[in-house]
Amino acid sequence: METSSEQDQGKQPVLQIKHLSLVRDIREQEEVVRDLSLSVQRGQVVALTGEDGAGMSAVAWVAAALFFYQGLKVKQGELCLVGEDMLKMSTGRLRCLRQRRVAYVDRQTMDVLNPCCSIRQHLSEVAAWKSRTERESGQNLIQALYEVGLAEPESALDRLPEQLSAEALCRVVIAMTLQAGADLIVVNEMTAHLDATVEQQILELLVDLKNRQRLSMLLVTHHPGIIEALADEVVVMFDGRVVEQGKVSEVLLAGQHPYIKALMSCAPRLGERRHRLGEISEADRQAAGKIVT
Amino acid sequence: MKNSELSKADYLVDLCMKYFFRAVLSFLILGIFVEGLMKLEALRHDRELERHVWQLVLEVLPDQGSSIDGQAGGSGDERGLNFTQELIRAGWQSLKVSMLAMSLVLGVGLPLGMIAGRLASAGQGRRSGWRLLGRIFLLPCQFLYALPAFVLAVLLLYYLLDVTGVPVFEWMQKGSRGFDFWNARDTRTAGWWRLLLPAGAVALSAASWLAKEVAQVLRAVREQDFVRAAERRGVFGDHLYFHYVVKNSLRDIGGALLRVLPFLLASLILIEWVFRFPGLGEMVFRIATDSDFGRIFVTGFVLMMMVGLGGFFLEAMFGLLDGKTREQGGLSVMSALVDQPGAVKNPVEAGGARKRQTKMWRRLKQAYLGVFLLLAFSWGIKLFADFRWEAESGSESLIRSDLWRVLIAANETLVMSGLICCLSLCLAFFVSAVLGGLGGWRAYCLVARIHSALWALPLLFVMLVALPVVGAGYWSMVWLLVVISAVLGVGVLSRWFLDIESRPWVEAARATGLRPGQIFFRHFIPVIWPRVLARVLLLFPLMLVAVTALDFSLLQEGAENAGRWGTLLAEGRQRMWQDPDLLVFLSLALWGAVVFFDWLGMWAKTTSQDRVGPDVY
Repeated sequence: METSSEQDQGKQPVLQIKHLSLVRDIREQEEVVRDLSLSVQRGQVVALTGEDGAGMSAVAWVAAALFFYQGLKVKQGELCLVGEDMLKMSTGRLRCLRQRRVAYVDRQTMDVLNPCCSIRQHLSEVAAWKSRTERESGQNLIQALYEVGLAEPESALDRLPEQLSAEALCRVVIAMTLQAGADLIVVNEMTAHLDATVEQQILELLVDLKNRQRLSMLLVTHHPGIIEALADEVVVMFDGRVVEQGKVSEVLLAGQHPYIKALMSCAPRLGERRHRLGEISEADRQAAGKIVT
Repeated sequence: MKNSELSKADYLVDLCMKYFFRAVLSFLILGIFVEGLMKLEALRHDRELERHVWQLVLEVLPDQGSSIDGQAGGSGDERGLNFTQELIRAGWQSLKVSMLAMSLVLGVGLPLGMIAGRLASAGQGRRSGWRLLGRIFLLPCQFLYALPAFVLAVLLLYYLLDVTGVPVFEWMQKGSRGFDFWNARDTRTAGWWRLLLPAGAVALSAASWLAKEVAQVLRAVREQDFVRAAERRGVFGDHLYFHYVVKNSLRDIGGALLRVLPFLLASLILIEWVFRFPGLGEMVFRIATDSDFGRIFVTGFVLMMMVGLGGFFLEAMFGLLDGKTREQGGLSVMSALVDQPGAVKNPVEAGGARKRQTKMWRRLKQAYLGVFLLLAFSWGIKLFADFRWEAESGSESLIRSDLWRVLIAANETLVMSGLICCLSLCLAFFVSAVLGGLGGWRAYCLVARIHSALWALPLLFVMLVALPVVGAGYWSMVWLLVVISAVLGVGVLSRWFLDIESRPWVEAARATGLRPGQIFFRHFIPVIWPRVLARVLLLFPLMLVAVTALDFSLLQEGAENAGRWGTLLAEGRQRMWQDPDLLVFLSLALWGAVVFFDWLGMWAKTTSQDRVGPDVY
């Protein structure tokens, strides 16, 4: 299996999407995602944001080689992971890709682990795919849990998922992701179900890992704070289309488009007194619908 | 973070205590039941009871020498001693057949279900060929599970004798107990070989049912989020199946096995009667008609203990194998019966909820329309046949036609079964609403305890001993079945009410200040009602089989039962050697009706459990 270092040839992006359109059923005309183009470079974090139903999760599923989840079909476009065209791969090859090259982290971390298997078994299972002949020793597994800041990793190894807190499970899932050694990590609102304090801690962990291990990440989130702290670039979506994309500071913090402004104004801020939270008006939505970058 | 997994030794100790208290509760409940029957009998026959049931219990033990109430004549000592010996011998015979039947069920049903589950797990997508293959693999089970064991036994007899020429007459010694025959010592295996036929008749139906249940459990676990997440990570094949699917299905599979036990015993009662096999079942028939309450109590308790012993063994085995079963305190009969009321699975896909609700109601309406049409059709046939018979009075051609007789009897049987289902669920619904609303979880726990104690008592036994007391008649049988089945329904429905009570929308409604009555009608009823309607359809085949079994056992002689399938089945059995047509037509009709209502009920029920979109990997 090729290691990450062997992939690092030139400036080839880890993920390259060009003019991608997705539909739920090939017979249907309604497109879930229309003409999407984005790329994720090595060591870069790209955030996808927008309203619910904008198509961000669909993009995340496709990027994670989960084409047929929820019945999505690729109508047109290109989709390459580390230079390999995913659209031409067989299901077996895609599965191998998911084992070793791309990791997907969903929002419901409480439900993604086998209730009958201990944390040790989960980590060992993922580690086994890196090398068929090698099994991670207990010490390496403990080290993997230390890396993600899990308290008492020695005792955590032999626990079942239901015996850990939501925060601990999040860290375990991140550890599994790192164990896999994937080139791309797709994170779909992983912290949405966590309280603010825990969310902050997980965010700090992700920032730390990004800086230390040069992670390439496609991050789906509604939280501007997470985007600001973690992402290098942001893609704003509305109704399946890209409204705007670019550097975080340019798009979110200094964005001029009315939809972007309206979106950012919805987020409440501490110390700010308002009678009502902001909302996106119909005019702003129509403006977003007409603009495609 | 403390490891709270129960150790194996602690689990076994807890299990022993659980079964001990369950045995005590069963003893009490059975005693109250028999006491009630005795009072009813006294009221009915207007005579003073001479002996308390507890004294009767003591007098049948071998150490006691006191006399027994001379209801059946004979000296007390001699009768008591004979009964004990008879009970032990009959119990041992039944135990042998039960063990053989259970071995066949485990040896055939469990692997079939696992293989079907593995085939379904291999496929990617709901419409994949592998899933279809899994369903095709289970097709024989679809046929056999719907055919009641006693009907299967009669068909086996006919098939073996008429088609293969095997001399099964030697297995049936009509009118005699045949102890010596069944315990022949001429060859070592002769006794066990002869048990194969009754055990096989019991096991085939139960094994088919188990295979279906196991496959269903495996399919359900296969749909769980953590399995999908594992697939996303790249886990596949045998590793996914055994480590993710099977490991998490063990508890539900154990629960299914637990439910098979009383089902096996109930089938065995009738099977023994069919084959004149000298076991507890055959004994039940004799003592039920004698109204010997002491013996009824003891026999009933022995039956419950047999089931309880089997349950203990199963729970111990599964608990030792599976850590999650230990954590949950063992297996549960109720867990598989209690489905969660329909709820939106994926909150993000809330837009699909309305569409799914509409689809569910549409399906329920279609299902009930189908039932109505079937009943109307059967009623039409009955009217037509009556009309033809009147027109052709003097000619017996229509009466002699077995097919017509089966079709005519369909109306009476279906209407009676439907009536019992509707009344039973109405009663259960009312009681559950009150229990859930007033008693809360404490009341439910009490109901669950009673249910777990009654689980071991075969429904057929209760009917056989109660019917001679309450009197043979259409309405007495209907109400008895309504009450008995409502007891099970209360356990399931009250759990539904309690589950909904803790749902977010109910708490939100309470927070807005809605009155309890408003919450009940606006937030409980709309969620529960479709499930109840689906459950009526699912209960239908059970009632159909129960009514047919009771009529078949000829306990309703002289009563208003002239036109039902059970009595025709008894007639068909008697003349099967000369003319098997009636038997064949009845078997097909009964099988068709059971499969039809079972499929209809599952179809109506699964609408609210559908996930949004296909699941494909």
